[in-house]
Amino acid sequence: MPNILIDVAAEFTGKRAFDQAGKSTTGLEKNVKKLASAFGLAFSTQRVVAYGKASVKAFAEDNAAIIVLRQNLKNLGLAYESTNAETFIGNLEKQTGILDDELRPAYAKLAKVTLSTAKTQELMALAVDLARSNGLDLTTVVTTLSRAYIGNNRGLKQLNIGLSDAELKTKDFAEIQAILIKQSQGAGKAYIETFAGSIDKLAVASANAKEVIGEGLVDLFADLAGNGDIDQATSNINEFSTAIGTLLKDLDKFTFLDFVATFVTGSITQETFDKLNRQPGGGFTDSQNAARLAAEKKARADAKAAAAKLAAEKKAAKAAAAAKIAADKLAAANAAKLAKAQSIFDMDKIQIEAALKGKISADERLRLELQRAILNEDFDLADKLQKRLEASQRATAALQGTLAAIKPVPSPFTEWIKSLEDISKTLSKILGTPINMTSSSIMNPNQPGGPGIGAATPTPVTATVVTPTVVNPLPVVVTAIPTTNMPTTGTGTGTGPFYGQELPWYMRSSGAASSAPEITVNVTNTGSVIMQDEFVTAVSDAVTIGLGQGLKLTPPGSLPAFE
Amino acid sequence: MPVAVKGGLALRKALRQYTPDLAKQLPKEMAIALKPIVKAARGYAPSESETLSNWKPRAMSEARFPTYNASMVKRGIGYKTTPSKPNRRGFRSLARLFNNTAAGAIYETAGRKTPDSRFVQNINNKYGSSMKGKGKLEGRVLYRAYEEDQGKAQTGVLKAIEKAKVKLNQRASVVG
Repeated sequence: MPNILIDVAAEFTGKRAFDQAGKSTTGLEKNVKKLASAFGLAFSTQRVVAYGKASVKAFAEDNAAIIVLRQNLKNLGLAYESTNAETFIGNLEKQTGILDDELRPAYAKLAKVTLSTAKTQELMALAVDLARSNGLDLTTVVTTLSRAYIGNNRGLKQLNIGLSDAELKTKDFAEIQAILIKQSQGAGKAYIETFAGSIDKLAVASANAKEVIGEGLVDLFADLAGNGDIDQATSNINEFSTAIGTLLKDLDKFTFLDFVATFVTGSITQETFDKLNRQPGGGFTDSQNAARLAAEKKARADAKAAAAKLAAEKKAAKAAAAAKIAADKLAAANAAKLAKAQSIFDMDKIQIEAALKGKISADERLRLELQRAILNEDFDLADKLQKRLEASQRATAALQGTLAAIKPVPSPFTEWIKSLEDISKTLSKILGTPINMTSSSIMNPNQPGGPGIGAATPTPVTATVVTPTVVNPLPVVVTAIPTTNMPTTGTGTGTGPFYGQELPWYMRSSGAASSAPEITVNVTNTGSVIMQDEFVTAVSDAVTIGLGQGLKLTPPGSLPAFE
Repeated sequence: MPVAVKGGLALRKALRQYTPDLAKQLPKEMAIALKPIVKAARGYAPSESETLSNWKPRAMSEARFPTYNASMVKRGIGYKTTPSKPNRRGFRSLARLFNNTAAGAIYETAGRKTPDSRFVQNINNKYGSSMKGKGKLEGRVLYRAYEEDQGKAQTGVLKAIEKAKVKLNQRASVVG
């Protein structure tokens, strides 16, 4: 990421550096651990191998030192004290923290001058104390003591004995020894109880362990050689180191006893040997090794082939299972398709679908949908629809009950005659003349042939179309202009407004026009029932039309009578 | 050089906790101070028509050198008012300007070390020598705008922080 950045305001928190350091340390730790874990076995193997080598060397050196001491003692005529000497040296080593590598030569040196095991051991103890108290090494002190024993007191000054040369010359070794013991008594013990002393003791224990392990390894090598030849055995150290590495890699295959047998006791079972010795040249002949290697190789190849075969079988089984699942799915899909295709030719379903498309009531739709659900075996839907249908039926029954509880209204037909009579009266009053209203199609429910009151089957009511026609005397064409009672001068020959015109009937003085013709209104009812309002409307329309045509409603000069 | 502020992060935390409205107001006021620089910097970045001819993006090219896409470069110039993570030296930025794109950075700083290269000569010939600033704050786009701003943005940011602090203290004081 480019670093073109301008920090306008920043705050120092100081955390990053420490966090970075912390992270680095943590990271380093993790890396180290990872490295250790990745190479742990190998690392340990190398360490063990190195330790093994060192231990073998330590044992060898220790062995050599023992042999030298024995030889020395033997030369001094103290061969029988060899065991005693070894025991003493071992104990002294543990008590003082000084390695036997140092003690043995010192012992040998003192033994040479004292020619006595007891004196040697006495002086050894003194030498240790003097070394600790004066901070000198044991070898120097032992050399000084051994010289002093034979009369050479020159080196005693460095021991801080506190005597002058003259005094030293006059005193014998026993006196000097007494003084030295008095001066340095307990120094060794005091030292060993310190921390440094503890470390020395651990070092001694470790060195001893190394020697013991080395001893075991040496024996092992001797066994591997087959003939106890240490030279042959030592030449196999590298091969054995590799075998140790292999051993440590496959820790779970080995038991504690294997390790004990290998490293501690020095004896090894054939079985452990077989496990350990995986490299050629480990004590078998070439043909044996070759056969063994070939067998191992074959075993590995067989194992690999078996694993591959198992993996292949697993893969095949998995593929077969997947194929089966896919085939089942396909079959199910095909079956669904077929079922759907079949449903196209199912007449019941076709009929239901067709019916659903038509104009049907909600209840009928519900029934059809239920039937369809049953045919489709959709039980959940069928259940729901059934419940809805039942609810609908209950509601219908309730409605019917409610309707039944409603009182019947009086039939309007009984009021008809009265209505017509009222109309007739009203019109008569308006017009001032009696009006005949005839309607052949007005049904009198009380007359025979009519529906009657209380008929069982109610007659369906149809719409009424009312076509009023006004029958009125058509205007008469006046061919001759009357001469009398003319409002105009002249009888048509004059120049009045009506000259040459037809006179309306109410202006005619003779003939049928002298009196107002009656207006007859025929109301033709093409339906079966007419409502009062419609009848009145029809009559009013007819009267209006008549007025528009110039018909007379009232005689000239008469006033309409109003009640 | 950025101004070192003490307690800026704690202030923001306190604002967020006790006066959320001031916490929202502070970045807005900082943005007011920073926007002019961003605007100017975007203006200094060459547009599509002004780009060096061979630096434009081209099809069927496997070259890895970043090509100059004017809209991308301008989009990559901006500001931020949220605190950043600590850098190597332990500093956290409270307000910053950035020029994020590779081509933008190239155009910004090309010529700092090799002013006589062909590429730099081409740029100078086309756009004129327009680098401003000093040392590591020398550039053609963002650094130039910042240099020309003469510290006003910084002052604005600090003022905004100060104002928020004063208001917080006023509200936090106990009356009684």
